[in-house]
Amino acid sequence: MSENGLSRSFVKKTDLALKIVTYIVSIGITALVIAPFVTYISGNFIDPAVGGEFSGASMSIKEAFGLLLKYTPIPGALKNSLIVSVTSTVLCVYVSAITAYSLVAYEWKFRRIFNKFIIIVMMIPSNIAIIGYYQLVWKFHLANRLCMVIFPAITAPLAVYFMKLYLEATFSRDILESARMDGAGEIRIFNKIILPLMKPALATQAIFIFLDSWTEYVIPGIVLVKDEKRTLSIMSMMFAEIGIDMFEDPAIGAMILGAITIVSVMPPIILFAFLSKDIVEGVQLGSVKY
Amino acid sequence: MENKEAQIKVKTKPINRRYSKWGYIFALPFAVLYLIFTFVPMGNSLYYAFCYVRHYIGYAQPKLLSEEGYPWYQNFKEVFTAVSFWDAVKNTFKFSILQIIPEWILAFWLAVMMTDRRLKFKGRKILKSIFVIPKLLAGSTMGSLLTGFLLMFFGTAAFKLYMASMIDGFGFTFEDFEYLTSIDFFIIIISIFMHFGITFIYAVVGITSVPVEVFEAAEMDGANRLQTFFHVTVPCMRPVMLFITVLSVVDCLGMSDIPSIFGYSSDRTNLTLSIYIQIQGNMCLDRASVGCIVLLFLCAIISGIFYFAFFRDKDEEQLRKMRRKEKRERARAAKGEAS
Repeated sequence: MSENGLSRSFVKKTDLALKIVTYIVSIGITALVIAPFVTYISGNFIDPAVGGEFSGASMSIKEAFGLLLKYTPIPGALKNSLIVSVTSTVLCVYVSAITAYSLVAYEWKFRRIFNKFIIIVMMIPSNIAIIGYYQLVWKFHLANRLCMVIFPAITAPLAVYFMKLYLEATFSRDILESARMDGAGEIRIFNKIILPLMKPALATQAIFIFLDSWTEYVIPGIVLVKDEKRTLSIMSMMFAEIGIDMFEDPAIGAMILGAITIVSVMPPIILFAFLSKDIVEGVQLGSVKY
Repeated sequence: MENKEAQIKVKTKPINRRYSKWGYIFALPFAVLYLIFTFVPMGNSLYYAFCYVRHYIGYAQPKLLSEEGYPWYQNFKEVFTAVSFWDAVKNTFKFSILQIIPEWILAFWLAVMMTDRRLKFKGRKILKSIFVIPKLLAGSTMGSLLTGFLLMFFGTAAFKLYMASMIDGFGFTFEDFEYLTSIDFFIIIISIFMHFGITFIYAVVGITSVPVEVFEAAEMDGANRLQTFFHVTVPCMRPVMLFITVLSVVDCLGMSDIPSIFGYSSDRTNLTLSIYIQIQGNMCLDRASVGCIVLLFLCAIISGIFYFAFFRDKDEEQLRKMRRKEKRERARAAKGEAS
């Protein structure tokens, strides 16, 4: 009895220690993440080119944005970026969901082969296709079109795999049968019943797909060469490499770079703030079937 | 009479077969788009490895090596005999291994601790959002700002260690801390910091997908946390583990943005395979294609090892084999009856 009590108190002590260590580690990581923001928002823009040293000048955010509008084509770039990212995210999520649904709900002949194909293909890094894509775009005179940036971003085998896992866990054939009984068509069933069912998986994937296409710079750099077609990531990269040296006062360049940074960071963070509560949790994802 | 039989046949047709065409229709957009915009370019870029492309080609179709009077393996020979290529492969492996191991330990440890029912950890959702922020910023100029801050932080820490060793308090010398000030260490630290949030999110997804009863049973049987993790959690979250592995392997082998922060130097300390491909892609597309083939093979081999060693459902495979055998035997029996 007493031995039992002893071991129990010992367990509780190690639990407490573990909890404290976990808190300390996570708070340490949080501090490392937050600290740059604190220095940033406190009014001093850091010049990344100097590697974290203060550039010395401080200017109000309003002035910085005025300079930004004056010297860079930011509205057009922002518009292009939003068009590309939003369209490719929506289409990618929808196509991935419908592919996953076709793999889970229907019994067609090549289903198993297609499933294997997706698992194999998701292990291939995407930058292998870039050289060939360059050739494709220039051969068929398709450069400077935003749709050519969107198309390769639509198919994401990893997203399909994740949605398949989620659907296998949540989908039941009874829903399908009863909806068919009520006379709903297949596309309607998918849009009205299955998509809402998959909302957490859609949200999880949407965040990362949006992020990927927002920060993507290789394919837009190949396809979009006209000035007015450039996306924000390309524009900011070009500004950081070339444009920043054109100002006589380096402080102004640093200021504009800071303003670009704020603009380019906002959309992913806003999206994440909206969707983070929907991230998948607590669903038996493809776990062992009983 | 025959008509009636046919009608009955139509009626008794299994209900799922009637809808199977929708499976094709729904899978079609993905298949077509993937084929046109990823698979064909990929094949094209692998084809270049056997061509002679030493300059900007524009719209012209490149010629095969044999047409130019070289043996077909010329590009492979050139790439494999170059020192820079082997440096790139070596660095890629070094960075990948040194990044994945600490990152997974950290991410899975935190995930297990935060989802443990006995600890009743609070604030998991907020922390989850915070851990992803570096990834949200990576690639933008803000990412380089964060990188700069981290460099400053770890640089200062290394410098303070150096000062402490100058005072000679603990018997350390500067050589002991030399690694902490090297580019390798910074690259690894920053990659871990950038990528760890995603691994953490999916680890939480996987762990919370395991039913609570399983953990309770393990606890009843007296398994400690380590045993529970390796013998209960990991086998139960096998599909999500495959997802996390693929994500990590692909990201690590394709790593280019973080090493390229440190610029290009002649000693090639931060040259990875995908930077090699990018640099060669400026002039020698054929060599870049050879690099692509190597990258593809490495990815296939590593992911394949992981898949066959850990994640394949062996029981299900066996079951399927047994079923197939049974079916064959039944068919044979039916044949025997007929004859």
